[in-house]
Amino acid sequence: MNKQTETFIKNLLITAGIFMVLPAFVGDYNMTILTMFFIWAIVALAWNLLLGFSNIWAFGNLVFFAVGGYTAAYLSLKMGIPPVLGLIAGGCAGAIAGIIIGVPTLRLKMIYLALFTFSAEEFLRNLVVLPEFSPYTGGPIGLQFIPQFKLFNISFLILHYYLGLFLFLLSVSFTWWVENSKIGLALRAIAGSEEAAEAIGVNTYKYKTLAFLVSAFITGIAGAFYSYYFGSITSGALSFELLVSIIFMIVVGGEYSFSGPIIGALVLTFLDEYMRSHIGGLMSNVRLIVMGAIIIGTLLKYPAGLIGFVKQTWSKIKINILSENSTEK
Amino acid sequence: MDLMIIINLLIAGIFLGALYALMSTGLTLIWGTVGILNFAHGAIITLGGYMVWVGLQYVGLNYVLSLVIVIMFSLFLGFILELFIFRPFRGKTGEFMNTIYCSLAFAESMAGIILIVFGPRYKKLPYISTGVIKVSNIIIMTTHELVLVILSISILISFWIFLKKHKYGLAMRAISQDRFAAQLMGINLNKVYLLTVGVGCLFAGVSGAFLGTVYFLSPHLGDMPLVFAFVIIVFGGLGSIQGTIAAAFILGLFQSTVGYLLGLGWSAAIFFLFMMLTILFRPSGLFGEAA
Amino acid sequence: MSLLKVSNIEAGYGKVQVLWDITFEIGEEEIFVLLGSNGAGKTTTLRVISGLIHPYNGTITFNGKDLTKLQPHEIVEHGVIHVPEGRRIFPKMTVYENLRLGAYTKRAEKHFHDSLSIVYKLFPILKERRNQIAGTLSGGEQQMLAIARGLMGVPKILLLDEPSLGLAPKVADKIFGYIKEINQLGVTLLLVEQNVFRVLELADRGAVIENGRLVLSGSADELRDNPHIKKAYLGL
Repeated sequence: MNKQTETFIKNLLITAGIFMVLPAFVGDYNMTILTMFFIWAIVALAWNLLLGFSNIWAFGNLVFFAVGGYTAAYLSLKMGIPPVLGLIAGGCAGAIAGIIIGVPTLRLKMIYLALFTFSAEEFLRNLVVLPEFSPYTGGPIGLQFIPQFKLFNISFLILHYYLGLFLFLLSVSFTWWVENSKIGLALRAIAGSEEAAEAIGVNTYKYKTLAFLVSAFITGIAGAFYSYYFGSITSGALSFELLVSIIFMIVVGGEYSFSGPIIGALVLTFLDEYMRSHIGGLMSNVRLIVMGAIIIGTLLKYPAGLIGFVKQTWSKIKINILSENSTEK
Repeated sequence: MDLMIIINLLIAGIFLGALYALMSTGLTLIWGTVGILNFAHGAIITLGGYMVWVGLQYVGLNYVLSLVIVIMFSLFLGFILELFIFRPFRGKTGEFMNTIYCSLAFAESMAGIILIVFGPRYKKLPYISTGVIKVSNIIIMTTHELVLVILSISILISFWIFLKKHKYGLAMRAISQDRFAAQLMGINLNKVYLLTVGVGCLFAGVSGAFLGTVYFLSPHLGDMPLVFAFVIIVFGGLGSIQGTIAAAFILGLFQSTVGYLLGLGWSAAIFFLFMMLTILFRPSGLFGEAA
Repeated sequence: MSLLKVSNIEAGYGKVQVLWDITFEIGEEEIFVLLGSNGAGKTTTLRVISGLIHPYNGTITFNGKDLTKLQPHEIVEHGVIHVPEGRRIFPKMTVYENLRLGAYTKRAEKHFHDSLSIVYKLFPILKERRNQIAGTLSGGEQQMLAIARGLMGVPKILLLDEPSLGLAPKVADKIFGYIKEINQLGVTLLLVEQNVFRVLELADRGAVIENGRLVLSGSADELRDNPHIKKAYLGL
């Protein structure tokens, strides 16, 4: 086991530990925000596997989110499938969508890939609300009263918090494993230059498809969990607003680092929630102005995202400590 | 099919097409000359509509004079975008993506401001005139629609002439064809960029002022137009203004006919499916360079 | 009386240095030629002069004024016109529109009609094809257009980068003929060329750049008789 993996596992255990005991210290309200954070962090992380890590400009990941969500909702609502299986089914459905969308894009370049994936999302969004599909998608109203997770008498809040945490840790580990495996190596090469990767014998089609598969599978599970958590799913899961917020999480956190999307999700989810609840009425829309300003400000100063800021500050601290040590003779 | 219906659909299609053409030309202009995808385009469309509202409610002007406010404000927004959002990233790595993210963020902030200042409730903008046009005693179009079509087309034609004859119009075209050589002509790139973004946003604002009379004026007015505009400029061929205008009219006609036959929901869905197929099989669009 | 002074220029692309201590002078109404093999740094030198690249060190002085820190469009206003390698005419515009763009600066605009007549007289075929789309012209015609466009800027000095590149020998000869005529109109020329033999017949003075360094300079006669040049570039 190499040094990097060791560090990762250490960090993961520490993070897991913190999150596991957190409910004892923070109130119910914060727990709900954290559960939301888990969902968005998973989506952002999986999305960044394509975006920042492999330099694949996919802008339609919400398709996988919605497919997972609607599949799980349909299976549990209309066919009585238990939520646990629904989660897995959601993931698989997402994965299938990943292949359907990913394969045609294999030959596409950058901006066309972005527009194609984005069109796919808009296509699905418009399709899903059509009354003709009501028996499957609930039409304009979406699917409601989805059966939810129940385990003995554990409170809804706590159950979903730990379930979300579990899925989060699982996704983080799985994504880490993929990024540091042979697949990840190939994807990094492709990110640098697809032509160069081809030239050295990397089967770019195979690995790009795998990237879509993994990303879509994880996102599908997140979508399924989202369905179960809220008990309903609508075309809001495919909204432009949602797409923009996830992209912001990735970019503000830092799309070129592993934990960037997670940090971004944490910061933006909490900021948004707090502003929404602490500023009442119409003025609560101030949060939109603030969010916009944060994104612009962050990118102007730290194009590498908040992670860039953290790393810079940490280096400065380290340099300070070192120079202090050396002046003490 | 009934002849009257066909005529109505045709006219509706041309009406939408003219508005879409105005709205998308701004976007394609900025893309062609400045090389940036302006994701704040939708927000500026929305603001254009609200500026008419401001003119009507707070300054006491009529619709046409309010357009003056729309023009000035849109130009102003364009300058802000270029100076504070686009220029800082120019020449640096990641310029393309970062300007997308930041223009999106700018749009989000604008949405917040609109909600706070104007509230979320829908408003209705008045028509310029209330007549109708009849052919053999059947209404085919309102005079308001006719005025908007004429205005839109006039603006586009004037702009076309500007591009062909005026020094700055030539400069915009030159930069889009060869930025490097354009500099060697003595063209001040930053100055032309400023003008280009200003004009692009002006078109967006005015088209918003027009759209706001046809659809309800709301903070979401520009959301769908933004998406449509992107589809149009890709379908028309990125960077080609003729292509954009042609594609806009095609989309307008498509929306009116398919929308009538199958409903708006289906027409939007089919439309995006069509976009996906275009990207897969003819990414250069109608007039673009071969991919 | 030197018109253009290039002093101790060190330049490169990002962190990759390409030019070391380049120094030479060009006098009024001279034809000065920069020789050297591919990648030696000749084009880079022109780009430094026209402002497309800012040098790490050194200065460019033109008519006594320091141009080093100026933007490309400001340098054009001073009368330094760069006709780039590969012609780079605006392919989707007509011949006329290209020429109109050549006279973009205020200075050049004033003389637009005079410049146009001169250019049409010098290159009658451009007048003939003035409404044709530039991208459809032949290689030689495009080169003529590029030079003509440069002339429309009313240059005090014209920088020509490889004007004969990719052209058939007869056509290249014609181009060199035009260059001589332009010089006789009073335009100072800085020529970058690979066609050493032909261009030394044309030039007054010149210099050789190898691997980013100036290795030789002098009058055209001196260069022609130089044994190194004879061996390396003329194959004698």
